[in-house]
Amino acid sequence: MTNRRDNNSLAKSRIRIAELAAMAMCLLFTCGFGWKYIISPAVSSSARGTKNTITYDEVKGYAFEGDILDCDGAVIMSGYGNSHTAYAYEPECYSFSYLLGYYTVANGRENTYGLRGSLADRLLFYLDDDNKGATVSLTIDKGLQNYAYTSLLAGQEGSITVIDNKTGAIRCLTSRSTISYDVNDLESFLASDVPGAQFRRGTYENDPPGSTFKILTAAAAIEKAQQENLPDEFFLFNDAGTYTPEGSDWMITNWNDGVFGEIDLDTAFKNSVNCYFADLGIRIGQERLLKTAKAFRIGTDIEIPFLCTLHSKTDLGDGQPVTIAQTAFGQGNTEITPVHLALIAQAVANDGVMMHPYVVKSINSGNMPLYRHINSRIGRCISSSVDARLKELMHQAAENYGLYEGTYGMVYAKSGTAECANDRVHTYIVGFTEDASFCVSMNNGHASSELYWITQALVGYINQIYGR
Amino acid sequence: MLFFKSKTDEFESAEAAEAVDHSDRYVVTSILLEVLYAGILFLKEPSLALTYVYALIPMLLITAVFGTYLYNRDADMKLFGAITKLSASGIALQILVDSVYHPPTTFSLVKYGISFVFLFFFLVFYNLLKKLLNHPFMVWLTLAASAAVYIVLAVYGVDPNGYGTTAWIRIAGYTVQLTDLTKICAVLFYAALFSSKHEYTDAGILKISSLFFFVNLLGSLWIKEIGSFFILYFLHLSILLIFMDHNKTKRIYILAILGASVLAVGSAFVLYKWMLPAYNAGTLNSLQAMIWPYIKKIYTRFSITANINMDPYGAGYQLLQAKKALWMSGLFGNTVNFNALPIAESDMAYVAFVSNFGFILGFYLILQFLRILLSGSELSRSLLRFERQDSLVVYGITVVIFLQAMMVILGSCNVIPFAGLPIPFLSRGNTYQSIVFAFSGLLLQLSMHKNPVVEEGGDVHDEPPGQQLAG
Repeated sequence: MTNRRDNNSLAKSRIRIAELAAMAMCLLFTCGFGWKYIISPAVSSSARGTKNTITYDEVKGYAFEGDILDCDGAVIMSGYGNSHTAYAYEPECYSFSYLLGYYTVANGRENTYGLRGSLADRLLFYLDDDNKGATVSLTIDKGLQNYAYTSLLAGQEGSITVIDNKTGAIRCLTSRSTISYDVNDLESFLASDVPGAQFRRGTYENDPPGSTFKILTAAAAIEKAQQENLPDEFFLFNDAGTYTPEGSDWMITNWNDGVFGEIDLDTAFKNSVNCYFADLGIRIGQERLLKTAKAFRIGTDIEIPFLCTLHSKTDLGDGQPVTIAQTAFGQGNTEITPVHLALIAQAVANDGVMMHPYVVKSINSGNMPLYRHINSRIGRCISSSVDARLKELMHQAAENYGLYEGTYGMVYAKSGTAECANDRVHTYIVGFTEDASFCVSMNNGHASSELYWITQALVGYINQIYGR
Repeated sequence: MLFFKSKTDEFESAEAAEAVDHSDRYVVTSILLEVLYAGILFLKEPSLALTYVYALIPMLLITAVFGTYLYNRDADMKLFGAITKLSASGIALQILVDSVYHPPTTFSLVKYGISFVFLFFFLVFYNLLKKLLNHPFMVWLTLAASAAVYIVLAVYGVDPNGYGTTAWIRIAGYTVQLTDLTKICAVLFYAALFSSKHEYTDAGILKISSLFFFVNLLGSLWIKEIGSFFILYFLHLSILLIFMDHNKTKRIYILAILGASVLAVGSAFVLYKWMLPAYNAGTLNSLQAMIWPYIKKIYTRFSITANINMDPYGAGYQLLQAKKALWMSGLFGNTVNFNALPIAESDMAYVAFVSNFGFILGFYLILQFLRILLSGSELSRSLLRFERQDSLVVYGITVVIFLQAMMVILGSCNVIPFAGLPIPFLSRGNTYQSIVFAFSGLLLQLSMHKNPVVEEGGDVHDEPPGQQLAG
């Protein structure tokens, strides 16, 4: 009996060891499979590629790509006959092509671009009972997008961005390039060997902001004056047509070699006087200029959900006067995208508060909501009082561009011409109406005045869709 | 809780009562899970939810009534919770399987009713047999019963599914998988062997258990049903390892069995390479032709596990489809209506479950199987103090359920070589389902007696009360 009792005691210990082994096995299985099938596809692009490739190969024979609708529910891209991929009619197939992009799988690798690339898991892999993918509703206004592409950007290389002032919803983001990319025909996209032709210009083109940066320089100066109770004389400057920053032999000139004499901020802003802003930037100082740029999220990545991340930078180097001066009037080392410039305008339009930009409003599979955007603020960029003064300046500038209050209502704008590498010139007009902000951006132009008629037409269309 | 006897009355302070027992929550969580499946099925397809409701009503009743009964008798409620949750998962899955995969048979609630009837008969049978189990002749009787099962199958066995094995017999139009009865025989055999009035020597235990082991090996080879033998193989080793005295002979024996297993697999690979040319040329001699199917099966199973793409549209097809399903499953189930999963109602039930309900619930099922193992093991440890025979039965049952579940789950997920067996609670298969229900019922019944009644002057403790397990 004693032996059996000893044996029982041993058996209890062995059972406990077996329990531990079983627990370890279950833990290993759970962790291993959780990592492989759940965590890896969420954190690793190669695992996600494996998952999507397997899924795509499996469903391509029976799944139908989901519809893509505009802000009013009008079809941009939808099923066509027995085709498993959605189809876009003209002119949407061109005007939306850089926004929509593509999703393909070839040789075990997935190739993605634009919304169709990043939303493949909903458009292609979230099927309803009829094996149709989810429906994606965008914030884009189809009419505006088509108009911007076919009428305003015709024969040009550039982009037009329109963002709702209050919500950050992107109402238009069209891009035109040296190739005619048809979203139904991937070959039309891949065939081009023109450098940069495959970029969506509004979100990928990182160039100096040109004179549009004067909005920020002016904001920094107004803030300094308000905080330090500086007299009006702070804003006066005697312009001789040239300006050489202290400690350098680099001479700054005004556009078209203009000479303006003694001028204040209003005149300088309306006429975009480079020498004035170069001097003002030096007087403001490196720290305040950088602080304002940071407040407008220059140097901070801004994500547009499902589309891309906007990158930008500003670099004043060692703070030499010449570098500050260059930056202050829009050259220097600052790089920014046209959509980010439109966001800066949106912040000024929205009492100094920048909203998160978004282009996907909602995603639904049948009646089941899969995604719904909730408006949110990126943050306050400037105070209300600085914002009010900026609006005065930008409204005067807009009048100068032919955006007359009597014709277009209250419009606020600032033009810019940036000298880029390889003698390329990038022209902009950024601004806003009572409802929406915009950035018209054009490559290989000569002067921003070439964009006046485009901006006037764009503002007219914006007013129309907002019922003004 | 309404109907639950208050277990707090006997405690003087509320804090003490609070610390003791909240096991009624396992009944509640089971009911919640059963209702949750109705919601999930409704989201997938409203008609499925309606079918499920027919099963849900008796399921809720059974959970509530038996849950209350067992709770009031101090049974292991964690074990009860795991069993009911797994059963509900199996029923929800099987209803979905009919709609998604169109298997050769259809889900039947009546079969679950039959399983319950079998459960009651089994409990009566065990309680009668229990008194005889420590008689020496029971060792030989269970051994003979096992052998008889194989002989009956060799003579009358049928292969209704075309799997190449004759593990079923047909009775009045119904097919019964008799090999599942060998698992009952095995559990009773080891209980009889280790609790016999005739205390066997170590050598005696090894000889008799080896005889049982080889009867099952030969019988399995005879009817070409290797899968079930794997369960008995691990049961044999684990029972010897745990319940036999610690000595050199046992260690050598177990190492020899493991070594022989490795050698057998290695030999199968060598023989496969050696015999393949002759097989292709059609020149196998009679002995080679007899062993070729086994050699090929072993070679294929291990090779496919190592490299699933070796034969993606042949031997590896099932596992390849399972792998695709797992990749597409996500946290809440696949979204692409993937339905190309073979044998989703049985061997691939776990993969089908994950594919349709997602990894969150999939991992939850693993935890429930682990819960059964832990509860069974603790119950076995607890019973060892005063009822060695019951302890062995409990441990045997626990190992059979847990091992079969994990072997098939890991096999279908291509972690280990795949054995085509049903998964406890999840798979379709009335015979096996009945046996799993019977085993579960016995575990719950024995868990009510985990604390012995101490008679006046009696002593059943072999350790200080402070070290006794709560079960």
